[in-house]
Amino acid sequence: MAQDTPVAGDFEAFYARFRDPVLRAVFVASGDKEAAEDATAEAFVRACAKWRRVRKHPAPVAWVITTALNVIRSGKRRRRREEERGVPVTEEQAHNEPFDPCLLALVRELPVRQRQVLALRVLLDLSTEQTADALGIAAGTVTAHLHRALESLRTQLQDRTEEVEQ
Amino acid sequence: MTPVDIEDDLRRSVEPMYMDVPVEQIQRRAKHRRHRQQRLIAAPLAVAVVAVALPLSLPKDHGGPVSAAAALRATASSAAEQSWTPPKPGQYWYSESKSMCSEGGGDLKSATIYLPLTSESWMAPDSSGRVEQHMGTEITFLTEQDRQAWIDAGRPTSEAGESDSWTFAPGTGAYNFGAGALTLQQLLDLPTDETKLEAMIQKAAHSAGPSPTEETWAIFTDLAPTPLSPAARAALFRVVAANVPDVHYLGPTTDPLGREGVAVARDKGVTTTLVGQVGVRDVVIYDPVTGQLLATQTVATKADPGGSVPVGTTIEQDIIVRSGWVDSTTERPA
Repeated sequence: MAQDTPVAGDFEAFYARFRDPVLRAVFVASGDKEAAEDATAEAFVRACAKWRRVRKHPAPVAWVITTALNVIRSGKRRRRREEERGVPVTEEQAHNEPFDPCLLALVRELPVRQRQVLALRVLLDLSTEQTADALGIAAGTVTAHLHRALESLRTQLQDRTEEVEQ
Repeated sequence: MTPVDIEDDLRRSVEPMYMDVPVEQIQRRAKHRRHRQQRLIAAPLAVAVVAVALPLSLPKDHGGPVSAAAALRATASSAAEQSWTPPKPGQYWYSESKSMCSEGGGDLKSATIYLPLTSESWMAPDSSGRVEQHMGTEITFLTEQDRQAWIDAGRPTSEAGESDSWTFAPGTGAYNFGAGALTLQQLLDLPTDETKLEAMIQKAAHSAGPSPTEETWAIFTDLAPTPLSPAARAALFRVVAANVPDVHYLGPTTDPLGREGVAVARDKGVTTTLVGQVGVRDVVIYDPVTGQLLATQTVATKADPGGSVPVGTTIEQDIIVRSGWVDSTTERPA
């Protein structure tokens, strides 16, 4: 629309570049695909609505993912009730299911903070400082969480491999 | 397996996931968010205007014999009788509004804060003009949880105290109209015949979203603060009376500035807001004689699942302080 003209191009490029990585990161951080899709869309809507400000942020993608994770947190109870009622999965939702469910299942068992750090550092390739800023924790804590998450996954994958070999 | 292998596997495992929401949909939702909250649009806005943490004396459902449709038609008749002088060449439509601006995300982490926003706009018929905005410094909260989250986030001040001003070239300013926009000249040229205006609004409403009733109501609240001629305003009120059946008449009231008006409302069901999932009611307060919009409010009618936002809380508010035609982009009406 006319009133969006001065910044629309910037936002479109930003969205095109980050929409998939943000969705994947939010999914890994939350473990909930449907919630991740809703929250990612909502976070980008908020970013678009205040794009003049967000684009000045040192890491706009960190702003978006922080917002998405907060949206998930605020909507958790509602979604839990929907899950209890059983919300059917549509064809559209099913067409892009992630694969390697074993690894993702292991990730889902990690503590929330470890999942978040893993998502931001590995899937969005944010720096330690950007991740710390986005999650509101110290840089040293980011490093520690990432190390613990990877170590935990490595151990469990190794155990699983040994079980299969036996 | 090394940590690097695990990282690669993790990346590969989510590769099939992609975001299939087109950017146009994101922009449309963002635009609706801005426009719902900021009735007068004159250029790209830096903020999302929203909520008010202040308890307001909202009118109760009148429950009397007056129907909303009858009240809207009565105002239409009265508005049509008002005198009107079209703008002279070179004049601008000036409008000042006061809103509460919600801020969330980024440095604020999970907190949602509210800042008072004053917006002034000057719009020429060719849709060139100027906007000035000033964000106040008084931070308020809707809930104690938000206040605590704000403290935990290090008390960020967000945009408090910031001012912004920009000009825009001919054709770049716009007023909301369904999913599209109108220039000021197009607004001034809107049909004064009810049937013609109804056809135009219904066409826009049907293309704007899945609920024509909802979109007709949105068009009403977008057009109400604009400088329509009395005849066009009268036609607008009649179109709403005929096409939005679920409007409640709340009766005489005063707006947040103490001006006397009449309130009508429409329930919107559960809506996603920055303060969670809440049932909301749109309240429109207008001058019953001229049909001029005084204020709009969005009130929580059903608590969110977390229960943090009490029923009756005003979560959005926009007050039209003053408006009128002026001769330059620095002049303000008396």
